[in-house]
Amino acid sequence: MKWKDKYRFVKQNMKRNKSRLFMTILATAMGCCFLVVLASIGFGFQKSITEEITSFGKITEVSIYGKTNTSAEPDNGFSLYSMEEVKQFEGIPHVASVVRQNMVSLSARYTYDDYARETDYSPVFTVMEAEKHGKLELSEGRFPLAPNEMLVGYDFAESLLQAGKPDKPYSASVLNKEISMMLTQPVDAEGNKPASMELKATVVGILKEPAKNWLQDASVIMDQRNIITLQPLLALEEQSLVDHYQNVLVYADDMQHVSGIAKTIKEAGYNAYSVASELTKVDSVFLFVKLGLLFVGAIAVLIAAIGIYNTMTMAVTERTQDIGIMKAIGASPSSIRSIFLIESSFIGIVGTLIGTIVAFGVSLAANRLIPIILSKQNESNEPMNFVFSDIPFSLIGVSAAISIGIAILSGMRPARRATEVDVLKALRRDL
Amino acid sequence: MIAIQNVSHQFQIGKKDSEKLVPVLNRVNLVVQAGEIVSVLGRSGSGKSTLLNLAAGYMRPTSGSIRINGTEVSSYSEVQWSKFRLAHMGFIFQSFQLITSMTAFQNIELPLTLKGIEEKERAARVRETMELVGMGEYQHYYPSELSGGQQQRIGIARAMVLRPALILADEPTGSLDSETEQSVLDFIRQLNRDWGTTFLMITHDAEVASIAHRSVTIHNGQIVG
Repeated sequence: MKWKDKYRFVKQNMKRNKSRLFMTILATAMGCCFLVVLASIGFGFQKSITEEITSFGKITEVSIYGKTNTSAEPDNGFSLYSMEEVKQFEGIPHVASVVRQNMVSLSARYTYDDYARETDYSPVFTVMEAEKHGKLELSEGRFPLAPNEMLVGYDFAESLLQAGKPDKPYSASVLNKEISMMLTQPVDAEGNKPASMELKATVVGILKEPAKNWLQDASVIMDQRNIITLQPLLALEEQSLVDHYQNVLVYADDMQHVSGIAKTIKEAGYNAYSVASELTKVDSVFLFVKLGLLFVGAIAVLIAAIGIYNTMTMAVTERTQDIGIMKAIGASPSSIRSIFLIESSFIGIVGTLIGTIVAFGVSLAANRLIPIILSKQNESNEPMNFVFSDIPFSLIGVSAAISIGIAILSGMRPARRATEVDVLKALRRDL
Repeated sequence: MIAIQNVSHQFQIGKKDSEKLVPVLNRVNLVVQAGEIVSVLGRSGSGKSTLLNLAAGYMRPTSGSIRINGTEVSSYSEVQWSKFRLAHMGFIFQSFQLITSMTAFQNIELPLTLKGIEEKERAARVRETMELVGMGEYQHYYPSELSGGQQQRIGIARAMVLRPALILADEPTGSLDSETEQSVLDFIRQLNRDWGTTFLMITHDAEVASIAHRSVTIHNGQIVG
């Protein structure tokens, strides 16, 4: 018997009791929808937490913070890294870039036109080529090529205030503008007049907007070579910063290699931290949460499966005579079985399809409405960047497999009963 | 065509602890040659229906051998029987046994569908067979819309649509009036004459049995003449 003909039989059979079929599909759809929505809460929370973690650091980044204690003297965490060490990190397989940065104990005054900003922090001095390969992202412009070029944070322009009018920030773009920097030594204990030095650099690139709207980035990033110019102002312990680095960040070429790189760095005697390893911990916690939610959701599908079992059992009972006639003239048990299995699979597939579509609607509505309700309750106008429900393809796949699988399983027993129909009893009388 | 040798059959009745074996057939021997119409006459409870059920594979004999077309079928499994029926046999039932949710066309088409024949060929063969039984105009009628005689013609068309060498008929005119009975019997004779189809026919009516080349009578589970 051909599949096409089996399907025709199923269609013909299903037309006999449309309302019962509709109710069974409805129950399956509700079960599947409940399963998807429930599990989507776990996926939503995981997505939100993952985004929260990754917004504070790059996913391929491994930051190194000092050497592991091998001696009795505790490590203060402010180690300097030599070029040899940088090269050692660069030699680890799958390392895309080793970013190295320095900051010095000089206060800075940035000036453009009659706008200025004073800060206790010096610019960040870095190797631009490494930053570029470390995927430092710009919102506009390019990476500096010369020491007299620099990058500034997204909010740098706004941090410049007009002389005498502290409420008037600079409102235009600072791209391609030359900024003057007065870098000054801290006042020493004896009260000597601190020395200063002026540097001028053109803004050639502006960094990407911070991930969170409450974060402000007014940083200044300059080429490492400027350290040499500033050497006369540097404290004694900072003299080595010409060829040593305070902050080293190792970037993997792909997220999957981060843990391997972090492991190698740790084995080499360094403390290493990566967002990816945090995410692995989060993922393993959420795996159990999602499995738990899927299990609870699967109970709803199991209840729907009782409906399918009942419907299929009734279908077999109602069609006993037809089955008997078919067997009497030569239908094989496998043909009879597959007709009923196709019917239960059809119920499972249609129910899953409807349930998944409805689940998408519920998920969308929840993500739109819950933040509005919560912000009204909290009397806050701040937008909530929280995903309450997320339905990834993997969830659709898993829930479809559960729903359709359970539907087929619940049709197996009635299908087997159909093959066991006694011809003579089904024909209601002996030949 | 059919060789039934020393076939006995017993029914089990009663509950497990007090079950009883009731013999229905006792060492029955019957040979039906190819192209023959053989009728089996007998009263109710004589065992004639059991004999046909065994020949159709709806029951297994307690002992003995049944050979059809030279093949020993008495120990066939259900799957083997389903294939064998489709390949060699057609069935005519007293109460027609048409599927009520299917049209006359679909009922006749059923054996062809079960055999996996292409839709186009099926349609041609069903139309041809319907014309042959004089029911060409009733393709889209449901069994409930047809008279008893018309339903039996559809039943006969379904039995012959695969051109089987053997048709087992159970009281084929048992539910028909005398006028319709005669036309059905004429048709069976015509099929036998034109196509050489072998018939093993169960009846309690001597007039129906008269169309057969040979009649055997069964009494108390034994062939008596």
